[in-house]
Amino acid sequence: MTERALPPPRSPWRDLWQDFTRHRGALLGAIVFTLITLAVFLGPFIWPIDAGFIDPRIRNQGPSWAHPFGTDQLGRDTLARVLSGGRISITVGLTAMALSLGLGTLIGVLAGVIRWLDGPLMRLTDLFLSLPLLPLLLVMVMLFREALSATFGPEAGIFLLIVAAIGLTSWMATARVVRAEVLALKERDFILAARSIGTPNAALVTRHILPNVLSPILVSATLGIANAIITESALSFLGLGFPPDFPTWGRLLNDATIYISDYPERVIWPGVAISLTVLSVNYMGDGLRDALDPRGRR
Amino acid sequence: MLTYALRRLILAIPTLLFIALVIFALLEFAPGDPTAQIPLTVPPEVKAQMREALGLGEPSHIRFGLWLWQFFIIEPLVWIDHALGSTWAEGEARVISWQTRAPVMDTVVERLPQTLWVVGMAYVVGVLIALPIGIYSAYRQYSVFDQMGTFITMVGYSVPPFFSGVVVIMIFAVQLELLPSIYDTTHVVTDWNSLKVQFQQMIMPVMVLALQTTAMISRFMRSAMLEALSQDYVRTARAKGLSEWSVVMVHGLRNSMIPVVTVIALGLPQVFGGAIITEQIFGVNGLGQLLISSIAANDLPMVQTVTFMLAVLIVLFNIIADLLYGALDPRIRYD
Repeated sequence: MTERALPPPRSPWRDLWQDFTRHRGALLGAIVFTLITLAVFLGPFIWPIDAGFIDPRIRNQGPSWAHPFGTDQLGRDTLARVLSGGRISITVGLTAMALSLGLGTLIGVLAGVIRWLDGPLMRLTDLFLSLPLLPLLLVMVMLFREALSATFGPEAGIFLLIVAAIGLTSWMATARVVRAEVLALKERDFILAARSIGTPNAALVTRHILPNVLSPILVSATLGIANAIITESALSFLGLGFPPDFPTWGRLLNDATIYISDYPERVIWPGVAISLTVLSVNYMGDGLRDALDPRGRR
Repeated sequence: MLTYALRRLILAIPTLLFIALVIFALLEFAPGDPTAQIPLTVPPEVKAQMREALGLGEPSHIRFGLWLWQFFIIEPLVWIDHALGSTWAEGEARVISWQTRAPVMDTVVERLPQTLWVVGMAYVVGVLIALPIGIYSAYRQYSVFDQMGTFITMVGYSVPPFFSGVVVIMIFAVQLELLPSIYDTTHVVTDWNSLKVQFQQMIMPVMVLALQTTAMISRFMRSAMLEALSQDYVRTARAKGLSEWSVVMVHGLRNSMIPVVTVIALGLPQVFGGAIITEQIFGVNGLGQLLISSIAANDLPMVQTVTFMLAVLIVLFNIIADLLYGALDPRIRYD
């Protein structure tokens, strides 16, 4: 009797990666987002001009080799400002996404695993879903800005405030999806098996449930980044975000709109940066969702 | 159905009370004092009188109760008085703005028509554009039209209104000088010419808001339609020899509209959020602009009331969406 060679076990991550790369838009989105992130974080090494350096001799210049995106009304280099603005915007996006994911996953898992918490936690989620978010965010920023700036310094204070505000108001979708997945998982045999050998609840969650709800969490992660970046930019655009010394993309857009009739091209750079980032993240989310949809698996 | 509707309406009351409490608590426990801007030369007893005049003398729970009473009992009475000429609300204290010293609701009623016009118009336009795009994209899946449509809606979905708004101003107002960049709310429509002006100044805000609506709804329409067209009854309809039109528009569309209608109802409050930014860009003095300016002026009663009204809107449209779901899908029973 000869031993038949079994095909090597297929890792779910390999499958996911293959499906993901088959989705051209998603792959392109991932590449663009990685490039933007790299450019923004490695920006100061490639483009050594300081974002805050004021040179009154070169005010309001158009694009040139020395300043590819031109300069603003104080003679600051627009490329450097867009890069440093992106550093703040993307950091806010990633941090706020992490906070909202953590909160959403925690609430979703708690609601799914512990039966008596399910009702109250889901009512809480419904209540949060019916809050008018943008107005509340504006109010939160208005009320807490000065107190936090005084305690943590102007940049760190606003950063904490905006990340916390966005995170606290955007966890609901994640919580709902995670709860639904956990409830479905609980009926599966492997959970029963794990329970029957006496796995404690905490280990059951970390070892068996969390790895299996990772895929919907990934999808909401991409949506979360897009949402956080847009919200931060909207707040900065309305003048209730970062102070003018810390140019985020929304703030740059806001500053440029004043000069729109004289220097319309200045609006383009931060606007395109926001839109391109959000677009690439959305495409990534689309591809992930398609790749994770069991109906599409071949 | 009626009992379900009633139950939903009654259940909405604790939700709204909770939201009112959250908004109130946020304003109440925030650091910062509304009288902090008053110069130090003002003696403390005058300052105390000013706080009293602003209604800040009472403890928090009394003020919260007072606000609830004023918003839910006095304000409706004022409306009834207006409508019937009665005098029930005469002499009662209403929610007063710190900025204008006038009742908050009067200002809101002044500002509401502008917002409703622009937002409502944008929503109708957006939905009317989105539905055909979604249907045709699904009907010809993976065609050039579908690929283009999917890409354009994705872009529309990703470009925030504060950028698209600035871009349309740049193109149509600055470069082409076709449309006014600022919305003139004092403009009165009297004849054809002024109607044309009104129409021209509405184009850009409506376009910006409609872009978002279109992107969101046509994506939903496409996926719902794809789902419906792959069902067995569609194949049966084709096998019976029905025309393509009635297969798609009757058998496919009617079934796929069920989720789309709820999305349309649920999306409306979100558009009001988008309107805050759009109004700021184009200078429409509607509710959103009122909210921003009262936030800037630290006018807490105004902020509280306007935010709460937006919450009422969200809760209301959630209920409408749920009821529509039941009305459209006979399989859903609420008994």
